[in-house]
Amino acid sequence: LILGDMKRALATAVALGTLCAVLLTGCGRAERRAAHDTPVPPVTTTTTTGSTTANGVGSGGTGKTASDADTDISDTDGLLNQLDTQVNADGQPAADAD
Amino acid sequence: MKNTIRVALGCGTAVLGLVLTSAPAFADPSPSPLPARLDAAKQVVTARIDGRLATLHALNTAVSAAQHLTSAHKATLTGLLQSDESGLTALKTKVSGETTLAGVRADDQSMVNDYRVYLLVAPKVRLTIAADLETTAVTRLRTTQDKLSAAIAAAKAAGKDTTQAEADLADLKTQTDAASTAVTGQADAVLAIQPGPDGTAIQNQVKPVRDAVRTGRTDLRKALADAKAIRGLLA
Repeated sequence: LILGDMKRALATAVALGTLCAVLLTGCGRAERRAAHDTPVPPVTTTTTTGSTTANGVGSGGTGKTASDADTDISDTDGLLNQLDTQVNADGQPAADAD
Repeated sequence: MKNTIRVALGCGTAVLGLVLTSAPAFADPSPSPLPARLDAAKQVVTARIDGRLATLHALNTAVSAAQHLTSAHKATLTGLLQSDESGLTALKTKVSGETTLAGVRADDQSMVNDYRVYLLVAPKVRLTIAADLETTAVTRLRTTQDKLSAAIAAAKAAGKDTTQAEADLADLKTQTDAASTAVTGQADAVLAIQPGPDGTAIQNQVKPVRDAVRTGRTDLRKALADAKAIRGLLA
């Protein structure tokens, strides 16, 4: 009787082990399949060149816009105002101009 | 009260002397008529020297404030102003010690011919500052030109009509080049002019520099207008 119980317990253990092995193998395959089927997101690289101010020019992707020159135009305006001051001062001789 | 009247009379005499002896703007000065009395003559010449010293001080302030003067031009102008200031200050002391009318007259002539503060030094300062400002503006406009050229190319590639912008860009280049040609060498030219007794000769040397600086300014104004127009067209 004892021997019979031992045989049944052994058979149960073997059956359970086999079942676990089958299940684990299946899970591994599923994971590999899942990993294989999932699309890899593309690596995103963002490069910004020049001004990003929206001005409707349509830069064609080069990032060159007219607003890039705004600082230079403004600076030149300032230089020419200073120039006017000097030229006007030169144009107003003192009364005792000798 | 008596002191007040004395001071007022003194000032009045000095002012009257100044009015009577002032030459018209840029006129070739002939020997200035001075009062016949020694003290009055000394007062007049001293007042005229003070006027020049005040002008030199104002010019020195202008040079100090000028951010776009080249270091060489700044050094030249600063040296000239300091030299003239010390020379005229010494001349003022000399005038106060004169004992003859002839001596005062000689000092008066020296004050004009040896310095030419109004006819030459002031234009040297103003025109040199102006010329260096124009040179700086030319450089800045060339940078502007490059940036606008790239923007026009990008706009054109994107299908925008850039015909007018390209025409304006061509004019921007023409005007900037013209300004550069006009101003090149002008500062050194005016700084090389020396004072002397012939006021007309000095005027004739200063005039082409003045004309060139004014021409350069006109060219630069046109170039800047072109840049602004392009900016507006591409906006």
